[in-house]
Amino acid sequence: MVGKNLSKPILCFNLILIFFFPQLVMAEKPFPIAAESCSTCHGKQGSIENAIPSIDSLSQTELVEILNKYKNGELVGTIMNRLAAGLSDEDIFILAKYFGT
Amino acid sequence: MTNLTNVKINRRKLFGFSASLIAAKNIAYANISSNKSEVVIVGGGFGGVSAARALNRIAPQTNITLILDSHEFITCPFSNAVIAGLKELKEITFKYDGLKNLGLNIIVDPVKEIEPQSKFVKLKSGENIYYDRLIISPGISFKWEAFVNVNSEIADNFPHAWKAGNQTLLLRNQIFSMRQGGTIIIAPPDNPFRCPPGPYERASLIAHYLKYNNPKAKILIVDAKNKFSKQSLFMSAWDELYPGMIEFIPFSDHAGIKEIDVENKKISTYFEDFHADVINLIPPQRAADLALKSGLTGTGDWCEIDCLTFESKVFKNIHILGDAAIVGDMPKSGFSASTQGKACAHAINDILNDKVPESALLMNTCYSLVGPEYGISVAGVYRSDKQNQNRLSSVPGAGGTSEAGKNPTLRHFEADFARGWYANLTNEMFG
Repeated sequence: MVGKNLSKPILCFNLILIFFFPQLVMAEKPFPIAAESCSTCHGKQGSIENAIPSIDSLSQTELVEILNKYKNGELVGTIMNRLAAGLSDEDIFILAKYFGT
Repeated sequence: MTNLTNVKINRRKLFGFSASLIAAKNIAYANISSNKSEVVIVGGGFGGVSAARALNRIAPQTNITLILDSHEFITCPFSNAVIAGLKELKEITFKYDGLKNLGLNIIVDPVKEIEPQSKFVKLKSGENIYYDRLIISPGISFKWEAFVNVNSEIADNFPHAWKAGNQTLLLRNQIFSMRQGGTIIIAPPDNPFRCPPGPYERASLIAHYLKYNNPKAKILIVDAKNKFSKQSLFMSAWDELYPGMIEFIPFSDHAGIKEIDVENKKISTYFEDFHADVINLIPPQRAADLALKSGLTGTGDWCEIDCLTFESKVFKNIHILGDAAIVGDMPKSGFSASTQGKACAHAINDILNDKVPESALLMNTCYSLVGPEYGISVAGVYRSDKQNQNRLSSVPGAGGTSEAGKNPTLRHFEADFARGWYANLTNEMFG
């Protein structure tokens, strides 16, 4: 479903984010409150086997790409489009950093 | 349970109490000899359990005591599936062993009273528990006084089934033993109440049961509202799955319940009388009795809180979450209570570390089953609104309900996700 290769615009976008929010890179995997909502369905570790897709093995860059695609509608899901629409670029970066392998 | 023989009195804390409290027997402290902060959590549902586990995970410097009413928790989510015979009660019943294994102090002893000045929780057994910070997630109570000449005993005949357990089974038994071609009334309350889409999911799943077991039966929804959660999705699904079976009677068509006649199984409204074989009367609601009698509701029905810390606007050091509280735009749902419990744990951890809690971003997702393979959902994203005292306000452009239109694949997916949502949520709490 999701390619391993990141598109150039997203890579550039990440570099820009890192430039403007260097504290995001410095921080030791902070536990963002927003992640608490994600983990209720997706789990952080040990999410149990069922229809809800596991995010355990996705990398940070994959998660940024997926969440952005949900947000802009390139990827059509069920509730994820509605949830990602409420996330800022910074939220997406923080969540991806936290959940990414 | 706190072992009273091992209680050591901490002088620093002791001198702060009134003489009467010192005289009270059974003053208990959990591990009081340490300098750890005492966080006491009252409530064994979505809010309380999620708060306890999150705090245990992120704030190892606290002593956590979880106070429960019962040795097990029966979830309201999926209780409509029990009513429709799609699940058994034991499948939605959870024990607290997972939390005991984490080393939390767990006390099963209902709370009698909260003493906000001296910072004690008084239990029914007579034991008193001291707190530095108290979290309560006590749920709802019913406003029986909203009906004329009615008290809680009416639920023995007209079950609310709005707290899962015996009431769930009573309603199921009444439906299962109803005569062929009978009528079921579901009477939902006005907003705000626990689980806004719940009555309509209930109507749907009962219709599913009737379709195969009592196909001439009817469901009347005599509603205290003119519109309801996910209404267009529900109504088009009813046309598709249960044509002619469910009738929604909005408030404007009956003007409210005037009288309830238990003997004749009749609900009289201001415009019309409704007779039924089974009546599911879901009363208007307010914060649970504990919140009310502790003064935490102020002059209203619900608890006002600071949305960043969940701290009561009435009493310091008491944090309230879940259905009992007004949490910005968030609906009264199990998922909301769970994310609030976790956010509250973060806020308390910050406060105990002399930090100001950061802004919060919370989400809610609620699935409803219209049929076993037909799911719909509503979602919301809520962010602290800096312009409005950090109120948790809906993020514009986000959230909303499932896409409308005939889309069996989507409905099937969402039914599977509803089951996955429940499995993960309850696993996170009780696993």
